[in-house]
Amino acid sequence: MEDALTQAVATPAQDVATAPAQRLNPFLFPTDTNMRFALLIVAVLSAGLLVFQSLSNAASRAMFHAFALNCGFTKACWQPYEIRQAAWMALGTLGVMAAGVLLYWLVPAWKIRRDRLAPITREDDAALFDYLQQLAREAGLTRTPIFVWNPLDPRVGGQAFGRLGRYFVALTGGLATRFYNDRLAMRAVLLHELAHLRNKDVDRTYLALTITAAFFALAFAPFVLSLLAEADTAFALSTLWRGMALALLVYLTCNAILRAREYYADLRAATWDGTDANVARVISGMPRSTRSVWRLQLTHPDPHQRLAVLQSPDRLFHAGFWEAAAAGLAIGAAFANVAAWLALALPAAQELLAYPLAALVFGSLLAIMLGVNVWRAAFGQAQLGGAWHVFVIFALGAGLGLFAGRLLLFRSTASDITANVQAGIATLLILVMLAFVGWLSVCAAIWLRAVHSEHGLHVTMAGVLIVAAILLVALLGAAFFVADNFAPWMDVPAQVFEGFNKVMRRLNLWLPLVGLALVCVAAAFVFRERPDRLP
Amino acid sequence: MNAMPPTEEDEAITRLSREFIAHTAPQELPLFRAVSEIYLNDPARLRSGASPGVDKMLGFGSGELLDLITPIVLVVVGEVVRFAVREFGAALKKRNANDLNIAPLNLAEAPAAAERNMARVSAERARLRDLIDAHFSLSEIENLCFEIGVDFEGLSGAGKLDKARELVAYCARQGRLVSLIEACQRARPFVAWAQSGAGALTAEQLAQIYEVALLRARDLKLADAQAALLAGALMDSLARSAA
Repeated sequence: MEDALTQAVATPAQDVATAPAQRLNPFLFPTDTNMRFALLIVAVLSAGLLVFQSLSNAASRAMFHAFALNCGFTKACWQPYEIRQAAWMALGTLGVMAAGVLLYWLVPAWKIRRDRLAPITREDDAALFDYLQQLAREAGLTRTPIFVWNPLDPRVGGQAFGRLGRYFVALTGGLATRFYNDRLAMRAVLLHELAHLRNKDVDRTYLALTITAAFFALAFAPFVLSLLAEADTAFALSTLWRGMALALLVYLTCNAILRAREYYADLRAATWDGTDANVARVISGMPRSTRSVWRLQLTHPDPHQRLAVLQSPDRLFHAGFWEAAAAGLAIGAAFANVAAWLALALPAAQELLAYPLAALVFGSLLAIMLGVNVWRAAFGQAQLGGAWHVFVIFALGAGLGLFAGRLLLFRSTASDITANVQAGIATLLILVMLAFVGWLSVCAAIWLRAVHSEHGLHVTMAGVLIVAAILLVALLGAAFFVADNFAPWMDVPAQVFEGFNKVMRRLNLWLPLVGLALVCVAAAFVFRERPDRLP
Repeated sequence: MNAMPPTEEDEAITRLSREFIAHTAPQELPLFRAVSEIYLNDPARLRSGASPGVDKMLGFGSGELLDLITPIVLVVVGEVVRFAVREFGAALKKRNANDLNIAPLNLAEAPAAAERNMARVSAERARLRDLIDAHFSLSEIENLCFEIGVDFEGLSGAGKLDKARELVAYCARQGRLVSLIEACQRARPFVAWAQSGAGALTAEQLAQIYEVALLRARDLKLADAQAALLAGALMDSLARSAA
């Protein structure tokens, strides 16, 4: 299996003349860029539902009071109001997505105009033009991108951009001068940009950026403004923190996409180049990022971290706490919000369908996301060895993420759900995730011993993931249904917490959040990546 | 935007600029055609110097900022050629009234030629000082100053020779030597005030070309050595063209 599923690339430390090292092929599995893009869409969905529910409330307050007077707690009587609200939420969220897609379509033309980019022609410099065409052929792209430039830009850099069916690679004037005095560096930059096209991450990147921009401009800004005008401060704060948490998730996920794509482009470019040395040299010249605490908001990974991954792509075969927590958070929030939205949109008789429908979509999605991560990590462990506790931490992240995601529901959670109940729900979700990830990692470890080709790996993984999706749809649907409908049953006996119990009850919902934050910070501290300390 | 067909001036500007780039920064040759087109269609874009365009967020590269000289050279050569054509066009078109004839840059010889031309400038200024001293009294020098708008009292020195020297130096610094020579010519038409020497351009005209080129190149932050080379090479080329 090693020969078929690993690839040979020389590391920067090696002389090009020496035999290149065997290392794991990061393109065997779906990339983090794809997974994070799916997470972003899910996060925008949840955030959109929450934001537009709040805006719908603000816009139809008089109607709400009229229904409250006439209907009391009768679900059937409220239905016209609820359907109207559900329509607002759906149209608003779809509108944000549509605006994002429209922007994505318009961005290339806008960018060409803004950056004053012009096509590079043969008349400009025949040798340069031919060289660019040759690089595009080396990249094996089905359609050659249009090479454009701003010859007045003195920086040394390149950028791939475009939209479906029409892609560009932009060169700066500074990069073009490297054609004659440092062609290897120029080649590394261009191969990196072509690798973005080959990895098909350009569309995802620009969609991520434009959807995020559309969300903040069309949904989040009016949401915050409407809450500033809200007379009920407690309600405004309760809605605002959930909206802000989801907006933060959208923002960080978008940045995480931008960072993830760079690792894969670096690796692809180095593979094409036959050596890491040139890509590594360009990365080494990039400015270092600031303190690690701000790295989450970076749109490019720290050069040190990029070099570490370039030297050892095995790092991409790691199942991390934060990856699982982010997936859990986004899916948990989406599950809760979509289930609640379905409950609004569906007639009373079909309301129970909300959980199975939400579970079908988001359970499958979570199974694929976690499943790919687990398979990738199991593959890495099969090749390089590793500890089983990685999967426990991974499952813990997913469980805590799901729990936190549930709290980001567009309607306020019932005030009678105490901290003890929340702790019970968190425990239930963590147990579900432990069981699921445990089963999946064992499956992956067993099947990976029997797989000897890339095709075999993909077929086997797809089969297992289908089964895993079915399993998780059932598990997650049941867990969320139980958590939402039988929560009081999960109240942890008071004596378990003894002295803490009074404080927890007083703090009510806030304690689990504080606890969760502490757990996350502690986990981040313990499991944070330290590429600069790698050998 | 439909680009106008290039004029003879434009062609001379791009040719001279390309010659200079090929000699001093050949790595910028791939950019030359595109940058010169921008210059001819939208010169204002180049006058502010090179500008970063591609955003940092998604690009890849060392991010290093290079000092691209092509835009600067085009602007400097453009201004010098236009200045020369405007001021001394007749000398540059002498073979055929419609032909602009500007000699290629000789960058290998440019420093020596510049030195020769500047020595000629110094000698001619000294000669001008001596002629003023010989043909004007102190009060006539004061009248001369009044005519060309120079503050006579502001000129240092007390004697006639001192005042003549300071007047020439002041006018040279202000780029007004041509006005001074014209005023002298009007006052004493029988004296040969300007001497054209080997070429059709006077030493003062060559000095003007050199100063226009040098000042503009320094304004646009061209390195001192390159600015001096470019100014000297342009002066030499125009001197040979007019000769």
